[in-house]
Amino acid sequence: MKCKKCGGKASVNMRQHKLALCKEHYLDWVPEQTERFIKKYEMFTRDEKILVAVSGGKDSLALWDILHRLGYHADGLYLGLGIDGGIGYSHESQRLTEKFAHERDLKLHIVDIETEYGQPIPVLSEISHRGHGKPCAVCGLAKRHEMNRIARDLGYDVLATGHNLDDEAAVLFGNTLSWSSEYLLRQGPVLPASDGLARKVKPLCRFYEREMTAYSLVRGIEYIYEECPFAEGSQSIYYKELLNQLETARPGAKLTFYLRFLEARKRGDLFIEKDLERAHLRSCPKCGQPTSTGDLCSFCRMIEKATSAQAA
Amino acid sequence: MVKLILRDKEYEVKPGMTLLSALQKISVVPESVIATREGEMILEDEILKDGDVVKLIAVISGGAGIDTRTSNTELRGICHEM
Repeated sequence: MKCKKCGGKASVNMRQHKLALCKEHYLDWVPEQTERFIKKYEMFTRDEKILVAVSGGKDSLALWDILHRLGYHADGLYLGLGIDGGIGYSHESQRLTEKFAHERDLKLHIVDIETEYGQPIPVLSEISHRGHGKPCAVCGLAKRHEMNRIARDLGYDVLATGHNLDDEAAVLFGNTLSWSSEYLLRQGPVLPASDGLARKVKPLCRFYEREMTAYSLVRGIEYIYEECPFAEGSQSIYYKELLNQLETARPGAKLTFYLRFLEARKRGDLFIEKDLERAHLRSCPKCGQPTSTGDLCSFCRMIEKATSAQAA
Repeated sequence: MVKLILRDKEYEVKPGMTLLSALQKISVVPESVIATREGEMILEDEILKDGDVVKLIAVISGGAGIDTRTSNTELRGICHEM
């Protein structure tokens, strides 16, 4: 297969775009497309301060690399979750993130959950009895809360995450299977700023996971290949594999699924008006972040419970 | 023979077939992996030669890259991000 731009040997083939590229042109194409998505979805401008949530995985490190190459003011945030799983998972992912930042002279903030809240994620999960024996629910909750808090406290305008199209399509697929209208209405490339919280954006939301892996390999980005030990056998991975079977038979199926959803959402074709949905959210009296409970948000309730369990 | 390696599993196929045919033969979903040979990425139309060692990199974090129609994947908890 030949590169569409130069006729040389192609290294990446994107069947959904009918586009094959050599390594050199692929490395040009990815930032160009990212810039296009940033502008199309009005994610941020060159004057704004961006905080990139980095996990040591391929997507978030690739995102940070791309934004840096594009000349944006983007600093990193690494959350130490305290997950070992017999492979020193958190330790290794932090090491790789620090190495990445050091090699490019980028600013990295590191926040350790155990230092901040007294316990690592797996223990917080056990104490709070959330998540049916797995810490994933507590981990997601804590990550969202801490990313919001730190972006706000440090004065960042935008919080950027490395979610790719496969992540988005898998979430969309799961929420469609269960017709979770509230979640469907919230999903998109941009979550606007509200109540002092930074805007959240996903600049990689139109790249396939395969493309981000290829980008990391070609760029020589050293990332943690092993997934979190608790993610093994998870529903989101199962959905991604199902969608990849569909994609293999019908190139472009994942992209169409996601883009048609965004179009329907923009037209207001999905269930109820956005404003009505947002009207249900209130501010947590403790941390100020949005919650639908009318009292403390889920995170603050979990920490209160964990703190009282420890004191008892 | 051609050796294909995916995580801790090794497969062997006959030389002379394309990468795509080899992946189908070992029930690996092409969309879920990137193939490298001697450190270079190769595409699905690449003809595999005798003695080739192809390393398959799973693109789904934590994913096995296998065809779920022929496996016994068990549904467990969901890992939410953001």
